Amino acid sequence: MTGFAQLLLLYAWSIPAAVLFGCALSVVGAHLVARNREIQVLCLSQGAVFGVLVSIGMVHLFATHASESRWIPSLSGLAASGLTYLFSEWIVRRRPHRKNSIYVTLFIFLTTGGHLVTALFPALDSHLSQAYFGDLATLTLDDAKVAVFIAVPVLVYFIRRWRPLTNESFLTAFFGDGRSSLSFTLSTLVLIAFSIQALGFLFTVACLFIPTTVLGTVTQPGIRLHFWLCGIISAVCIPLGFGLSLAFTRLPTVPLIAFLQVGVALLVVLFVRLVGALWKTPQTVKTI
Amino acid sequence: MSDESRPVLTVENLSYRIPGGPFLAQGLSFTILPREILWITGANGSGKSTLLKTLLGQHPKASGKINFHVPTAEIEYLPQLQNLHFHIPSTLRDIIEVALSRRPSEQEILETGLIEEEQLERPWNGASGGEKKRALLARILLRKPKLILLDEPMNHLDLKSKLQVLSSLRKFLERNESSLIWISHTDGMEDEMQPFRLKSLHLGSPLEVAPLEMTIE
Repeated sequence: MTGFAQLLLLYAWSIPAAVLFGCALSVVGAHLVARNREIQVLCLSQGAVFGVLVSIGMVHLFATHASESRWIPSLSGLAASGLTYLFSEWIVRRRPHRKNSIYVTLFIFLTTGGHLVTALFPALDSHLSQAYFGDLATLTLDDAKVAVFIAVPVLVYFIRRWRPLTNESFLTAFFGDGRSSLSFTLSTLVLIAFSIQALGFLFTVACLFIPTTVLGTVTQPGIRLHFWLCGIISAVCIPLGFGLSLAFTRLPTVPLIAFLQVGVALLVVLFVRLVGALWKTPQTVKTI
Repeated sequence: MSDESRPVLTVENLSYRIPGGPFLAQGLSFTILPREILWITGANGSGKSTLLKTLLGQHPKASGKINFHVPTAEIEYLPQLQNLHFHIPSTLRDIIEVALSRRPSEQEILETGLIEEEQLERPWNGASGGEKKRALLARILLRKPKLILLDEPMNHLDLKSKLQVLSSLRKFLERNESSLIWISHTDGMEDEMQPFRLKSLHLGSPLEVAPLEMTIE
């Protein structure tokens, strides 16, 4: 067996876990963008980063055994993003026309909070970097197993319920806020909070937004194909980016994955437009 | 009580207002029975759309009681059409289909009388306001609601489309014994909805503290 293959074997859990998680995030991202929730999701993600950093700081101060505190950052990230969600929903319902400025202010507040916490606990510097940029190579075996455990049911739920969920997204886009079902909100929160803690902010937002945004520039694929393509783009780019970063050690994994997602999604758009142009039926010209 | 006389909606002494502003209506009471149409007219700013939102709980009421006697799943609401762009690339057919738990046949969609076959594959984001409105109405009719609330459904429609919509709604109400609340700027359109039992409600200007008149024809 070659050295490279042996290296890949080390990540036998990390790669499938990241692929499944990336697919789930990309499908959820399509719904979130359709519901005009992009900036709110950035706030939730930043809330999760803040929660993770605070809990790690506390663990450094008080915990005696590492094993006791293993799940605290994940739970704290989930709690913080949940609170950010509830707070942002409450305030936006009172001032819907100022939605974007409120979300941006909340995002800045949480980003500042994260940096202040890091300043209080200097040991958090590396955690802050990990929370933002992530690295699939540092995904622990336990985290990888939990990622699979979360991503699979979320994916199954979103595939089986694609019709009512799409209708919900359409109605939210049409009627404004306040139509997301509890199951959608909870699965989104759990997915995002865990992804931030285990895979980082950049990985999370790249998978959520890049495929659907680039694919949204074409009019033709249709709803189901859009979801499939979003998932497939992440499923292709994550192992590809990971493999390339292993082969070329100076290349960072997650930025490379995001870069590949843009490239592959653009290629898909180009292909769809080309096929659309080739198959377009000629218009009948009416003469007067 | 027979099904015909069992109300679909009862409203008692309803008052609602612009938040922090004047009352739009006070002491409004009415009942809607199956196969009945409530026709709401009034000047701009008189609170017609707000009335629908208040009924649906999307706008707070100041006082009064609102009782729907049909399940929420059997109530459909079509607000005024804004400049609606849907992020996920979809066709008019897709938008109609996702409204139902099962995939409707093409025949079913066409039988609503609101969409023509060649329009089904038109991209939602590239469709005209009138096409979007008819597709949204088709979604509503395919769900077979017992009560439909329409906020100026004739906006964006040319004469042919208006006649299509009137004819489709007439057929639907007849077949399903449903009721309708219709907000309109156009007087006289209600005559097209005969022979249904018609109630009309005219909302006054908010500055006149909403004088109300209700006639039952």
